[in-house]
Amino acid sequence: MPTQDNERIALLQGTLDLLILRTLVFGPQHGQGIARSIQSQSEDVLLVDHGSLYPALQRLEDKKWIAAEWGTSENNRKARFYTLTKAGKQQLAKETSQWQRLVAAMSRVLEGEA
Amino acid sequence: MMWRKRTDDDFAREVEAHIELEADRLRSEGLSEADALAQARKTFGNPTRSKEQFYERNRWIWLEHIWQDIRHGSRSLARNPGLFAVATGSLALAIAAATAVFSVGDVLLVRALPVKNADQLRILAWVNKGDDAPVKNLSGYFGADDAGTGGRISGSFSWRAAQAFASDVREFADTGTFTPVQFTVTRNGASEYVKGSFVSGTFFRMLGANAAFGRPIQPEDDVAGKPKVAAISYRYWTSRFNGDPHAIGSVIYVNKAPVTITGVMPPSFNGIEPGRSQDLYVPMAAMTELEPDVSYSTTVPTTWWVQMMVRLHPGVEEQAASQSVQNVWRSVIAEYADPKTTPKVTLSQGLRGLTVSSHHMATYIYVLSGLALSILLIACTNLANLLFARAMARARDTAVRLSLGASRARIMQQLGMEAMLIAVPGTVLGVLLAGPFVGVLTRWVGADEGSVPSMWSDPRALAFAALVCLGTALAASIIPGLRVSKVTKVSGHMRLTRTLIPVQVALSLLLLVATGLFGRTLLQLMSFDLGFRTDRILTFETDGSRIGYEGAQLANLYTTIQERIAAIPGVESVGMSHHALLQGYMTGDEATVVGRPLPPGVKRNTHILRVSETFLPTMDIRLMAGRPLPRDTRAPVAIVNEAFAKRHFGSDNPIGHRLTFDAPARKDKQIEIVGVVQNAVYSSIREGVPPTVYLPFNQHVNGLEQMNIVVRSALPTGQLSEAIRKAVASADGTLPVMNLRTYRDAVSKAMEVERMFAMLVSGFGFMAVALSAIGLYALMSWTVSKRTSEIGIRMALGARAHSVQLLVVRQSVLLTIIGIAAGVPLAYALSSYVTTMLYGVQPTDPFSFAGGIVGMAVVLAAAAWIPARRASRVNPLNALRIE
Repeated sequence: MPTQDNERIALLQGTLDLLILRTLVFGPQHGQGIARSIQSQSEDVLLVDHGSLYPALQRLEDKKWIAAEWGTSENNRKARFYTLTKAGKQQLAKETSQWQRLVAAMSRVLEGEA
Repeated sequence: MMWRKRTDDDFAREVEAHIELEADRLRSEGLSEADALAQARKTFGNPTRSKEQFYERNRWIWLEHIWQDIRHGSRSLARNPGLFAVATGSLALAIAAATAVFSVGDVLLVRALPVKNADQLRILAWVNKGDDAPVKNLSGYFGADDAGTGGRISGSFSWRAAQAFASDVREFADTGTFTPVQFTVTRNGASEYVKGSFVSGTFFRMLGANAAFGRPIQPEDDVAGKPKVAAISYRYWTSRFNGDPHAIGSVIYVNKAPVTITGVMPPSFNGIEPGRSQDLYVPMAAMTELEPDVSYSTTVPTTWWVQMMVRLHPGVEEQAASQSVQNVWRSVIAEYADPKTTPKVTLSQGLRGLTVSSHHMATYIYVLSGLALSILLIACTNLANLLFARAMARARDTAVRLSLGASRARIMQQLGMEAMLIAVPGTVLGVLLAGPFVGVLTRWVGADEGSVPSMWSDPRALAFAALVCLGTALAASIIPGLRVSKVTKVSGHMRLTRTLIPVQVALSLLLLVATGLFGRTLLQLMSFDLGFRTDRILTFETDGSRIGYEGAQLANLYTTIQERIAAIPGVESVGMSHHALLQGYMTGDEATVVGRPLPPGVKRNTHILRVSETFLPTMDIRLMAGRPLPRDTRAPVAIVNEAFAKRHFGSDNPIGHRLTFDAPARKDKQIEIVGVVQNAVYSSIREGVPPTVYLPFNQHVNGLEQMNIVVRSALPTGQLSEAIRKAVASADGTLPVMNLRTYRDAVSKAMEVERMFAMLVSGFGFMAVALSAIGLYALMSWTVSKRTSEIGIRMALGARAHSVQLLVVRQSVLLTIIGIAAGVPLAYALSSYVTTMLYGVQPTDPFSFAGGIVGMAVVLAAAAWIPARRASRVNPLNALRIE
């Protein structure tokens, strides 16, 4: 286990799936790219354990929310590229709205308490 | 493989690609080549873990494990083929025994009739306590009354009563009547007896039983004057018609009358009486034509012979139905007798059919179950021991696996799979072996041959075998599994084996005692003096009453046959008797000697055998006093046996005295005793020699039916049988010649079941002892190998060989003593249950017990002594060097 950086937050259970789906909205991407993109978009606040990314990818692929295909990266390396499927897009919409409701509810409770 | 969408390699390549891409990015941020790669790997975490996760996520991992265990297990079992064979073989025998006993017990005691809603069926019966029922002529079955009234249950009613029940009891949805008989069936010129029933047209409708092919007997068949039809059993169809579909619509001759077969019942339907096979069903309406002589009257109210099964309307109150039956019954009786003194009619549960005869078989089946269970337990403990020993042999390996994170469940699963590798072939072999066992057991408990279906057509028996297989594997692997998976270091953990051995010894002793008891029973039966000679005698049955002869005409026919056979060159003598000896049939009555009443309390039960004048000499039943039966005489005469003479005359001379019988057919005659013959057995050896009266058959032709004929000759059997058939045909070409065989065969067949059963039990007894011995031997060998260095030190310090042997043997002696100490009271307690199955042996027979104990002790001593001797020959130097 890497030492926990105070400014970085370990991902909540289940949120990784949502982040992956969201990342793929912008087009096909390989595993390393997905990890990078989550980290940079969250301005390095979210910590993605690269190793744990793959079981999640496999899980999404099993559920047919993403599809995978070998391709070539910008710097000419062979990589496995993931694409969002139609079912994946629907799932993303569903999970996003769920997430937003959760966040809204959480903040109401937390701010009310404060 | 269908459950693997992506290969492991593909995944590994993806991981590599990821790390390289990450390293590229880090390099572009200015890190050195080596640092970038190291940093990329660090960020990824443990790639092996990811690969493992992928590997395990992506397939049915447990299936993979099972496959692994099977491969591993069969490899290591293949290395020990002898061990595998012993374990599988002993398990197969145990499972064969268990499955066969289950099959027989299930059919006879447990199973419901194979019809819809069998729980709605009821059987009508009443308790016959003596003279209180207004009946003069009663036929049908009789069973002991469970309620303890001392009465006998009868299910027979008058025709009038049965009709009244059928039409007037509103709680009955349907009713069916039946009466079992023995038919003579003639096909293609050959006659044979076939068990069956006359049934009402509503019988099959009431049961809700359909035919497998064609149709069963229907109400429109049961009308006088209609063409006669019959339904046959599946068994009869396959054995006599070879399963020919053209059997339906074909004509057979039943009691000489042409009858058309309309349907074949399904294989699961074997009549309504467990343990009795029924092969032919004919409508009641055909009775007057097929059985004109039989006294089954439809008009006389005091002749009771109709048996009845009914189906209640769903949801009917038991009480209400019973009350209605009582009302109808009273009104029928009131027509000719006093209903107040008439026994009540009971409605008994018909779910399992007519259980009167299978009820008697229950004790036998319980005994068999006990034996089978013991054997199964022994085989199971042995398998457990075997698995445990193998598990212990690789305990080091297991400990390493456990410490590397293998789960205990995984270790146990492996043992379980190994158990299955032995249990599955054992079960398959066992079911194959069970077939002949079923045959022996069926007849031993007294059920008809073929009344228990073959194992393969019986899904319940197969399911049971599968269950036993699983149970055995589980039971045999769970205890060793639990122990082994707890083991963290290799140490002396033979405690399990140590506790199992006394259990095995106790069970084996139980079986050995049973072997002794049944073996001695067989010996007693075989050495019994029959009182007649069986060598050079051919015997067969014929029945002229079935082809229209009766009374004096029938007697003349039999006399003619006897003369024709006697005329065959090479035949020394010919005799005839109503019943064949030792076949379980007899006629009985109560006899009184005129002027010599027996003291009160002494039973007057007497066996009667109607014979021709030449029967006693042909069978070599020797005349002890008086003269033989005359060839022709008007004056009624009889010959009695020594048992009869002793009961009625003590040491006085019975010759010239007169006797009478109680039965109406014989009542009026005073019969003169003209001779006394030596004692000879009659219906069975177990029955012993009953007081018997031999009467000339031609003086007692009333109700005379079949005749058993004995021919003494030195001619070869084939030639003689040919000549006999010709002689019989010359008297009447349509006469059947049935059961032609040598008397030796007839007698040995009567004993065959006893012999087979004794062999079966002793086989199991010896198997049990062998298994126990193997177990003890294994334990001792293991102990010796563990203590080699200790023994070496002792010997180096001057211990003698015999003291070393004692050291080793002490443990096994102790275990054996514990086992025997537990086994003796167990056997003693259980042996009383078999009392009725023994002959000439007490259930506490000291020889059987002593024999069992000594046999057990000797075999186990040998099993323990061999490793002990090896121990005492240990070379101290070598022993110490091993460490």
